[in-house]
Amino acid sequence: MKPRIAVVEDNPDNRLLVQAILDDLYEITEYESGTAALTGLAESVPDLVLLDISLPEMDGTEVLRRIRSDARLAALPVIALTAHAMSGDREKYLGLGFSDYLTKPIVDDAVLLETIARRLSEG
Amino acid sequence: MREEEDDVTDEPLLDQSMLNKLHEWGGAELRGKMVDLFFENGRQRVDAVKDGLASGDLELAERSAHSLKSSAATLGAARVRWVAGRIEELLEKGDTAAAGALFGELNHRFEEALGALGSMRSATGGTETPK
Repeated sequence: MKPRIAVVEDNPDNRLLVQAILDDLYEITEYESGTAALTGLAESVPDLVLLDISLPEMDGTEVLRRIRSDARLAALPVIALTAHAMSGDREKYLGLGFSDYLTKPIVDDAVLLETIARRLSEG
Repeated sequence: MREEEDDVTDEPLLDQSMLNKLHEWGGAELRGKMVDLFFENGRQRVDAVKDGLASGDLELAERSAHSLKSSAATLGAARVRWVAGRIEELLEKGDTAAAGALFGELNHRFEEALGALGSMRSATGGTETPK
């Protein structure tokens, strides 16, 4: 069975792109918002979460905080995915409890695939 | 990094390497769908930047500029990415006046990108069906 990845991303184009890259290797569940993701994750726990930071209403850092404070989800690998790349961001997001940090646009699918594989193997 | 990008016209109208990536990952179908989504959603985001600036909902303006930057980057619409990113930065710093002054440029670069993507779509035969 393919490992299951939850993709939390409000941009339909980015969801489509991630799906195209990951579809062969992983079973993807898409969520358009943080609240939808938290509801979905409570019902079905994936193996890894790809979490956009800039989401409407509840941003990715708040979604992460709630994942980390939920005993069933706390140990999930969660990778931050953001177009908001500033120097020092990597340290900031890892410090918040993200397992890893990737920037958009995705220009190298190998980096995305390797990061996911590495975090899954640690889980 | 943005520090090196002093002028929007230093950027290519379409960054072919990004479009080639899309083709590599999902063929003409993925690239066509991504262009379709940019046509459908890009205008909404440009309008949301405008509405946010006009109504003082700066969070809406900033988030919409951020989304547009992200979508434009994925499609290689480098000039749209540049201007949207600059507006996002200015709003983050609270410089609403400077952000507002760039809106005309954003609109212009968005229309310019749509023209180029539309030409590309026609030239490549466009497997996608316009909605």
